[in-house]
Amino acid sequence: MLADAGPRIPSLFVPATALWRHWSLFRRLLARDVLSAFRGSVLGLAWVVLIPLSFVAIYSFVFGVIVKTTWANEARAPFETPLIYFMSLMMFGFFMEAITRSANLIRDHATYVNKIVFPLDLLGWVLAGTALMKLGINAALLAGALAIVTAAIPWKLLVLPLLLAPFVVLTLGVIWIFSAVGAYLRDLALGLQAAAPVLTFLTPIFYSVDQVPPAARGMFYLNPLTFPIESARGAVFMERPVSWEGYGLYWLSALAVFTLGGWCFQRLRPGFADVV
Amino acid sequence: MLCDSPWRRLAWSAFGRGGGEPFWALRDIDLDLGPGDCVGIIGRNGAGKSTLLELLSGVLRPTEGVVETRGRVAALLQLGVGFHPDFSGRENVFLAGALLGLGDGEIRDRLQAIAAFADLGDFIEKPVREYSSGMFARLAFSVCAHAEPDILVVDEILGVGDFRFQQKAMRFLRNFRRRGILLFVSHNEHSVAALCDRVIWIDRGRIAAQGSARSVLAAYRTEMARLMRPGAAFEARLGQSELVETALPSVRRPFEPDDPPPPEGGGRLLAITLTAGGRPLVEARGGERLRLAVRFAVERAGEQASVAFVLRNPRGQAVFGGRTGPAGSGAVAGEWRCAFSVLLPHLPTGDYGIDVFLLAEGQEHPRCLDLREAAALVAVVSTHVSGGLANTAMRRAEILQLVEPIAHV
Repeated sequence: MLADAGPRIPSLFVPATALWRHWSLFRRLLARDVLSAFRGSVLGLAWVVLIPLSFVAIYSFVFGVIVKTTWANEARAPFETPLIYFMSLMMFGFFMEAITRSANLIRDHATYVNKIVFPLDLLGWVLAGTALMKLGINAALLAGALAIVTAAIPWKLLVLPLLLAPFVVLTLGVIWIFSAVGAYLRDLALGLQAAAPVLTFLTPIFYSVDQVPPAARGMFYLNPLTFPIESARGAVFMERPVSWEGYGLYWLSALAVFTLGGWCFQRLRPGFADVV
Repeated sequence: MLCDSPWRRLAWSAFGRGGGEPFWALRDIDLDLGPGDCVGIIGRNGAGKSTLLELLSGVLRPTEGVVETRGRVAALLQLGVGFHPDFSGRENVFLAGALLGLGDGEIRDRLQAIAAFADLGDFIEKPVREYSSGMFARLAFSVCAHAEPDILVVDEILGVGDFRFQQKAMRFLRNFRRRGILLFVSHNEHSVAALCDRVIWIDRGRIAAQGSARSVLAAYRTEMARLMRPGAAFEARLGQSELVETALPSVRRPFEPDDPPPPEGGGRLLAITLTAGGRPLVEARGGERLRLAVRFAVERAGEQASVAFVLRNPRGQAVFGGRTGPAGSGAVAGEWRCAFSVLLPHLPTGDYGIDVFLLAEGQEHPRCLDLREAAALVAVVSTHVSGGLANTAMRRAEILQLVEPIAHV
C-alpha cells in the first residue's frame, strides 16, 4: 500500500512533496477527475470547449453590444472589451472552483479516508490540477479569440503563466486549509456558498481597483484575486507593466499560505477518519 | 476517538485538547501475529472490530500506541474503493491498482490474470455501471487479490456479491492464509469458524476473549444469548402470574410481517424471553419445544392488542410465525403477558432471529403499536438438514436391494 515516505521529509513539507512522491497516481486521478465530469454525456470532451465558448459568446453579446461600461470608451478593437471580462472571469472561475469544491473534498472522498491507505494531500493537488486544466483551455480560447479580434498574435498573454504561478501556489494552500477544516465542519461548505456571490462583487472583475476609493483600496489587495487579475488586465489590455515589487510580495505571501496550508492539513489529517 | 461536536474534534486535532470527554473506540489491544496466522474478529455492532482493522491496515493512526507491520498490507474494508461507475472495468482496474500501490507496469502485467479471476468476459470493456453486483464484487476482489499482499485485512465483504463470488473469495482466502497473515471480520460465525483457527472477541473496545475459534465462538454465543434476555427479573415473576396460552391465529385479517405498518405508539413491548425447558435458550435443535414469552403494556384504553412473531432465517426470509387472539375486548390500559409455545422445525444450521410485533385491531388490517426486530436469537445446530428452508422430522429412510432381477418379474 501507499505509505507516506519515511521520516526523511520534514512533516511540514509532506503535502508539498506529495505531487512528486505519487506522480503516477496523480496522473490517473487527474485524468479521472477531468474525464468523469463529461463521461457518459453524448458530446463528451467537446463540453470542455463548449462551456467556455458559450461564455465568450454571451460576454461578447452583453459587454460588446448591450452594456457599455468601464473599459468600453477606450480605443480598442471591436469585441475586445468582452475579452477583458472573460480573462478576469476565467481566473476567478479557477479560484472559485478550487475553493468551493475544497470544503467538501475530504467528505467526497470518504472511502479514500477510511477504507484505504491513501496520500490525502494528493487530493488537493488533483483538485488544483483539474481547475488549472480548465483554466488552460480557457486561456487557449482567449488567445484564439484575441488573435481573431485584434488580427495579431497576442504575445502579451505570455505574462499569464508568470502571474498564475504564485496564484496557483496560493490556491493550493487555501485548498488544504479549507479541505482540512471542511472535513470537520460542514458549515464551511455552506458558508462558502454564501460567500461566493459576495466575492464576485468584491473582486475587481467588472471594474478596476482604480475606481475604488483610495481609503478602501488597501483592503482590496487582501483579496488574493485582486493582484493577479489587475496585473493581467493591465499587462494584456492596458499597456501597463506588472509591478515587480508587488509580484515579489505576492509570491512571498503565496508561499506563506502554501506552507501554512500544508502544515494545517498535516496537523488535522489524523482526525479525518473519525469525522467523515 | 470520537467527540460529540465537530468543533471539539477539530480542537483535539489542532491543539491536542478540546474539552468534553472523548470516546475511545478501542483500548488496551495487544496483538502479535506472524505469517500463517489467520485471525477472526467477532463482536457486536459498534464493538470496535472495524476500527481495529482500520488501525491494522494503516487507514487510521492510533491516538495512543503503535501498530507495526512488515510487508505489503492490503485492506479489503470495502469492495470497489475508487471505482467510478462510468468508467470501464479495465480503466477501473488501473486506478484501483494504483490506489493499492501497484505501478502502471505491474498492473499491465497482471491485467490478464485479474480479468481471468474476475471472469467478466467482454464486460471488462463495459462501464462498471452495467455490472451485476456479483461482477462488481469479483472485479474489485480480483484487483486486491493480485496486489500480492503479505497481510490481508478483510472486513465483512463476503456478504455482498453473488454465490459465485463468495465461493471464489473463500477459496482465495483459504489459499492465502498459508502464506500470509489474514485478519477477518464477519458477523457470520460460520465463515469465521470455517476460515480461522484463532478468534478474538472484541467488546466495547477491549478484547473480551481470544483463543481457539471453537472456545471463543462458544463463549460469544452464550453471552449473546444472555444479552438477548433483558428481563431476568421478569423471568422470576413469570412463574407466579397466570398465563393464558392462546391458540394460534384463527381466520382473521391478515398481518404481513414482511411489510409491517410503521409503529405508531400507544403500546410498548416491555420484555421478550425465549426459553426451552425452562432455561434460557442458547442453542436449539429441530423438534425442540420453545417458549416465547412477551410482556407488553397498552397505553391507550380501548385498544384490542395482540402479539405476533415471525422467525427469520439468516437470509431474512420468514420461516414461520404466529399470532395471539386479541387481548380481551375493550381492554383497559395496563400490562399484559402472553406466551407462545412452538415446536421448532428442523432448520439448517445458522442464526435465526425472531421479530415480535405488538398489534392492535384496525379498520381493515391490524395496526402496529410497537415492534422489535431480532428480539431474540436462536442459534440452530443441525446435523441432518443441509439445504432448503426447513425440513420435517424424518422417521425412517430405507434403501433395499431387490434380490430378484426386475426383468424377470
